[in-house]
Amino acid sequence: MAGTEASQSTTRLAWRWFAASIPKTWEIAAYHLDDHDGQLQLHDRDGLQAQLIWKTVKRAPDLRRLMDDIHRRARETAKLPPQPLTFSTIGVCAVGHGEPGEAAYASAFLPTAKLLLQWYCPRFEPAEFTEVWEPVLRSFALAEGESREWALFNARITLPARFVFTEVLPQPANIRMDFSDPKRVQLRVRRFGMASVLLGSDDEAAFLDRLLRGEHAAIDARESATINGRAGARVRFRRRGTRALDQLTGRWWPGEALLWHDRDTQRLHTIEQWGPRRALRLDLDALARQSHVV
Amino acid sequence: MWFKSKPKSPAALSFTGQLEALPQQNQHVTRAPHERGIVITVELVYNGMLSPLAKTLKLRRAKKYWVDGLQLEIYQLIDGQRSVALLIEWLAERFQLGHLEARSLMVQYLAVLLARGLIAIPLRAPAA
Repeated sequence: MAGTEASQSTTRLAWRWFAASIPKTWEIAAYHLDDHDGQLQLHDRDGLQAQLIWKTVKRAPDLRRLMDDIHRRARETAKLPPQPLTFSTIGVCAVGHGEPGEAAYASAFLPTAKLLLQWYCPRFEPAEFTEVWEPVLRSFALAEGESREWALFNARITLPARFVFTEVLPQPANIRMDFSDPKRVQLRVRRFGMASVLLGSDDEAAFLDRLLRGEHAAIDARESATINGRAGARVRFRRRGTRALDQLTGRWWPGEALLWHDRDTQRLHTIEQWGPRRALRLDLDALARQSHVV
Repeated sequence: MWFKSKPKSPAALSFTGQLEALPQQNQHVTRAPHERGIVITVELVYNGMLSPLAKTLKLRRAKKYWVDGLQLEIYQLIDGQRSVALLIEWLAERFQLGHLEARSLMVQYLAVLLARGLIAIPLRAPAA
């Protein structure tokens, strides 16, 4: 997709249970990232454009009936007579919409996790729905299998399913997502904006060095490198162990970090991995190749 | 009544109103060129009881701020003609930021400039 018109106008949105391509103008304005009861609100400069809610349920729901109920209640609140939704199927979603100007809904069910996923479009306009929403719903995929894509706030990575999300720290032009696996290997993905301002007179290696030192890492080696065909840096570092006996004894965990500078989008991307000495590590270069998007 | 009634606070500005506000530079500051950027000196004003005591207590009369790089670029764009929305768009385009990202950064920076007395944001556009 790289370089095509579609990829230039869309960005990825992915979480443990799903992945989709959404318009670039949609940004996450609010989030609740619980595995079993979460939601994302997507806004553009005109306000709310979409809401995605996921929730664990006891059994497979009747998706159309569920959407009809929500729609009926919304009409009751607005003191309007009940009117059934018009249903269709797009990709993995059952889609229901009312009259133009009313809300539209799309629902999917992930049986392996007993997870109900619901899209909410606050205002259904047929032409706009075809142009904007249909591609989103067609791209909407439920995550199953050995690898998981994670893409929030224009930071993206694809990881083996054993890695679980631990934290996201979204600040303007500075996004951080943390993951860990059962062997306590820690993985951190970052995306910085305004690269020229952040770098100042430093090169990429000096910036990565400064960034890691600022977070109590001891730097063992650093070098400038080409990552993903772009100017970047590779740093070997150590951090104090943060789990179990390693935390008590203050044992160092070795780690490696990659940074690459995407001059086209004025962004800096980093991937850091550290953990107990004998724990199995991921190939950071391969991760960087998969993660370079957005 | 013993106490003066509290003046009514102005009605909260709508979100659109905030974006349409026209920030302008404080004209009562002195600007001096620096090898990198400019140094802006803001005279401090002490209100209430501190006003007569400021001289006796030898309180600071002015504060200096060194503005350079991107801060200076933004400061120079604040001319009373460009709205907050236009400044946000400028920042978003310049660094290819999302609208919400740029809005958050710009609003934070304007709040800093406002708190330091370097700019003022009138609630209504000044008459031409």
